[in-house]
Amino acid sequence: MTARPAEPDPIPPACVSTVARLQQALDGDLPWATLDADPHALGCTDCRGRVRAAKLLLAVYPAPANTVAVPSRMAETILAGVRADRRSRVVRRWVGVVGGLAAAVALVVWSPWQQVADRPEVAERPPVVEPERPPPPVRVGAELAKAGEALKEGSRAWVEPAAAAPKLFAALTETVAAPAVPPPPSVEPARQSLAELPDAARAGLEPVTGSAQKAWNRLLRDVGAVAVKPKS
Amino acid sequence: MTDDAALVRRCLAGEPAAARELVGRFEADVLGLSARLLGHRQDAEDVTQEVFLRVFRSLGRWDPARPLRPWVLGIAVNRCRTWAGRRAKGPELADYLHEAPDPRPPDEAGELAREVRAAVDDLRPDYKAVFVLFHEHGQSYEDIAGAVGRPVGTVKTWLHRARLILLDRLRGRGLVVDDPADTPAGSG
Repeated sequence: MTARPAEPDPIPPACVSTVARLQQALDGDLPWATLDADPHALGCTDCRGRVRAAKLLLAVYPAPANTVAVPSRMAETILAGVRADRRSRVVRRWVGVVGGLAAAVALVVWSPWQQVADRPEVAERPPVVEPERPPPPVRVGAELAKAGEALKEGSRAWVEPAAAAPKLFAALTETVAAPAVPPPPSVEPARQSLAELPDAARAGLEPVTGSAQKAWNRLLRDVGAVAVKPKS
Repeated sequence: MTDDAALVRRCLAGEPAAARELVGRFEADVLGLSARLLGHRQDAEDVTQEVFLRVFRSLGRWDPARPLRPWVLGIAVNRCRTWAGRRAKGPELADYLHEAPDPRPPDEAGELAREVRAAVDDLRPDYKAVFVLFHEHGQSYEDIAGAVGRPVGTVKTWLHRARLILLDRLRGRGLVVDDPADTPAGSG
């Protein structure tokens, strides 16, 4: 099977006028005798072949004739189809109208509820951005006063416990105050016993003197000399 | 008022006799054109049914200043084009299901006619449509232009190209005998 030619072969320039007359003859606008007497067609093999082929074509199509046989019931079938189509279109149109009305009624009923539900709220104002103000000028006197106040407030936390400490030590002093009478001679046996220790044992021990008592007494004296400063 | 316009007006008024007359006036043309363009008799009958459905649906939009016949044939051409496109996308039937048996005797003229028709069937669809409308249905260039929705110049170009393709094919098939004594088969 040969491929279907989509376009005709190009016509050589010498054959263009003859081909144009051939088309006129096929249209019925030019007698074939004119084409038979065409000098180019007589000398050109291709054009002579085209003219003969065109005559064959006209032999097949001598006159427009529609030879197809129409079935006897075809008109009835067509008209029945047309009537059915018209009925279905009417039904579709009514369905559309009724559906549209129903939708409109539903919209009318529903819209008041929707209006209440969807009442438009006042649109929020966009936040106003205030321009940044320049910092106030620094005043030295005011800043020093503020620093002093802060120092006074802040020092209260450690001044008050320090002021309370002498009271505590005074209480301790009263509790463990040294007796007013001289120490009883009961210490003598201790001195005696220490004296009786051998030299080796005494060399390993701290010599017991009154240094601890002196230190303790000096501490009590110093603590008692601290006077509690009243709160301002 | 023309005969076509009166007929259409009666159809729009809902006269059954007018609808029957309109179908009877054009059914052979529509069926013949569809059969030639589709190459399948059953498809052609189905398309003819569709064509008349569309004709009656859009009858109110027909321009009474134009002839009715090209308008109807134009709808047929469009439906055939759509049908052929749809058929091309679907599964292809076996060839023997496409072709109805030719009742004519297998003589030499019949052989030539079959060859020419086969060549016409191989044309491009738009070339084929204008060729069939001109040579088989006797439509004028203007009517064909109205039917296929193209300018007259385009229709002329298509028809001329279709003819040249056919002539080349007939020559290529050896059906043209170089006989200087042959005479024209038809004269204008």
